[in-house]
Amino acid sequence: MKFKRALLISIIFNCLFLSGCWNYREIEQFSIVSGLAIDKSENKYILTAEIIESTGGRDAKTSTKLISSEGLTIFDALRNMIRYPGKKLYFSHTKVIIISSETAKEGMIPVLDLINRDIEPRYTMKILISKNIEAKKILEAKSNSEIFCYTLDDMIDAQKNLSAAPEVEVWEFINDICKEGISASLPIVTLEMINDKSTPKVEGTAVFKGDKLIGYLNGKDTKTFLFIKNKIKGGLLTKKVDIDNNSANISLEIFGNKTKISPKFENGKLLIDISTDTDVSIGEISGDLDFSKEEIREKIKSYFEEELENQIKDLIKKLQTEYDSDIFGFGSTIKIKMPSLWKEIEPKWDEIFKTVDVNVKSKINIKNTAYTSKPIKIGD
Amino acid sequence: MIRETISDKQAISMMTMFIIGSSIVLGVGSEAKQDIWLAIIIGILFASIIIFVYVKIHSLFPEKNLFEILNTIFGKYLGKFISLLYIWYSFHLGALVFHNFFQFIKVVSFPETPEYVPLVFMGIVCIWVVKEGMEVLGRMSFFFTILLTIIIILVISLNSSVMNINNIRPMLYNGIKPVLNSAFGIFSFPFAETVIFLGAFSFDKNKNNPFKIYYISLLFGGTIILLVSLRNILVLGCSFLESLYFPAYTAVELIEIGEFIQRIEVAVSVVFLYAGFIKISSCLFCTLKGIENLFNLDSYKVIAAPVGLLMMTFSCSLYESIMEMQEWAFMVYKYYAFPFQVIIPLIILIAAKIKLKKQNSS
Repeated sequence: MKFKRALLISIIFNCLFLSGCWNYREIEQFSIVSGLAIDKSENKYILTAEIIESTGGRDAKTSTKLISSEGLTIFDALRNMIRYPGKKLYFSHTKVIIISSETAKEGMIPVLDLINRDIEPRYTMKILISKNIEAKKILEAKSNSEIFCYTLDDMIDAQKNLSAAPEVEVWEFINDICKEGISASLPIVTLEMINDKSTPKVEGTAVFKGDKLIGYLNGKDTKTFLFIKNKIKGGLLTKKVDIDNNSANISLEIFGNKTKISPKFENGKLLIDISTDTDVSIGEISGDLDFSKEEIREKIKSYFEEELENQIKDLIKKLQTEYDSDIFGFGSTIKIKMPSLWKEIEPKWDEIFKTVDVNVKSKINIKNTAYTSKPIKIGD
Repeated sequence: MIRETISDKQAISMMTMFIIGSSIVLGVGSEAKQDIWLAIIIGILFASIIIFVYVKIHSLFPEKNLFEILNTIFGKYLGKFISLLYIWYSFHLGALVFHNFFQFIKVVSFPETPEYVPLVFMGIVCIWVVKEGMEVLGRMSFFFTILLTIIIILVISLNSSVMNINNIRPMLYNGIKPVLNSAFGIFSFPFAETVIFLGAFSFDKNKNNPFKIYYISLLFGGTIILLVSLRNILVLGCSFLESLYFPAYTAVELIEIGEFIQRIEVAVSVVFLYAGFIKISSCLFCTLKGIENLFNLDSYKVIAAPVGLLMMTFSCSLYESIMEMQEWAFMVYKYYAFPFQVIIPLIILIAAKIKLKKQNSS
């Protein structure tokens, strides 16, 4: 009995005081990386990382610092980074990776392999392409003491209400590269001068073919692109409308959208039907249009429907002729809907995609007109 | 010899945990691509046929385990030889699960920790529980089954936000052949591995119903594996899934609901830890029962520690790397296990029928 009690006490004692991990490390021994920028020059990768430095004590503060290094491979460059802070970098809290367009043009797989293979970086990180500028310049644009990469992450998140750039996580990008019948796309970040200060701006889409960057879409085209991909979550549709000699600029706020892509094979020719169904509300009318009348609403609707249809057609034409990259995933839709046809056309899909005809039908449902039922009228 | 009995409920939960065991983390049947769910259903159907053989053997010789049955049917020498084969199979299987277990820990969380550290901790607990006996293991499995089912279902429902139904379409794109091929793989790992329980269980005639035990646990374990695999493919898509060693872990990594619910991959590790523990213990138990019978020992408990330690050391020398483990588990294992899972049980059943007929007529 005595022996058992002693054993029990010693077990409890050991559990409390002698337990721990094999490779025990304190938080100060790590440098937490919040974001990473990858450039390439003359066969060497240049990595710039934003690391978070926290001071302990009563008035704990977090500040950030940029460190950079170069190496033959990404891993080499990462390990070389240890030299400066003298600590191992820790990637589990990294949220953003910025890759320069020059690097992306040479292929993304060498860059992504380590991120995909290593256990520390998470698959939910977001990737950005810095257009025509070195990726590290973006990180250097940081102005105040905030954690810059986390702000960038918020900026990408905010695209839900703007729809000017796609939101792509690492795993989605890898998936798009692996899958047949779809090409990958990523958001773009650039620098813009505001009040003599360069500020990052997330807008536009980088278009890939295979793992190589081949072109860009601007913010407006990106919205159309998201319409086709059925990824619109919010944003505005604006247009100048002329009804009965009354012209006004109208903004419609998007509340929901459903896009259906259905391929058809008729008379030996492939036709792709795209139909969009968008719920909007009238957000703003800068003029005197009485939208309480049904015929006026119908006219507004048809204006916008036509505009959207044209935009979608133009964008698809642009990708067919200029970039010849199937970022919409028409190929994978055909694979799902008509597997036997896809088996036939798969080897020649690049050629076929260029000549595919599309048929677009847009439908806009005005669900409400926000808080007012009539526009502001000028009394005499 | 001590005879231990467990209730049906405990036996069912033990076998369910055994089926879930390592397969839930390693992932099964990735060669079937988007038709993985079909492959699993076919695998369960295959398994239900062979499990009928196991149940028949059990009910022909109630209150006896596989090794005693072998002795009565085949006599002293041939019986002991076949016993030896099964002792090897369960010993090897236990070592394989041990290896999967510490490879998983090594890859996902402690790359620099020597592999024997997690191994020793797991091994000691396994030896301990086996020494305590079948009843303790049964009661523990029952508790774990409830806990793990809740965890698995909760995690799968959290994962639903990143699922994409297009990942399992189109059906049968590559034809039925890869589906059948991977169904065969799923049949041998994990479903038909339940042959271990022929050696581990010796049912009480009045208390237990082997038919019920085997089929309910096949259905229950099969459903969980089906759900998890379906989740994996719906979340990750087949081309990405194929490139991963531990797809379940990555699928759970993608859960990010607000800033609040994220980084819950540890749930997968917990499931593997508990289910793997039951699987290893069952294999160890079967091995010990075999050795006890082979050498006519009074109790298997005296050799629990040495055999357990042997199993641990053996698992360290099994493969050089995780690539070898992957290749073995998905390419070689199904052919290696086929005689143990199908051929020998069939021979046993036929021989038993003939023997019993002779006895009755004489």
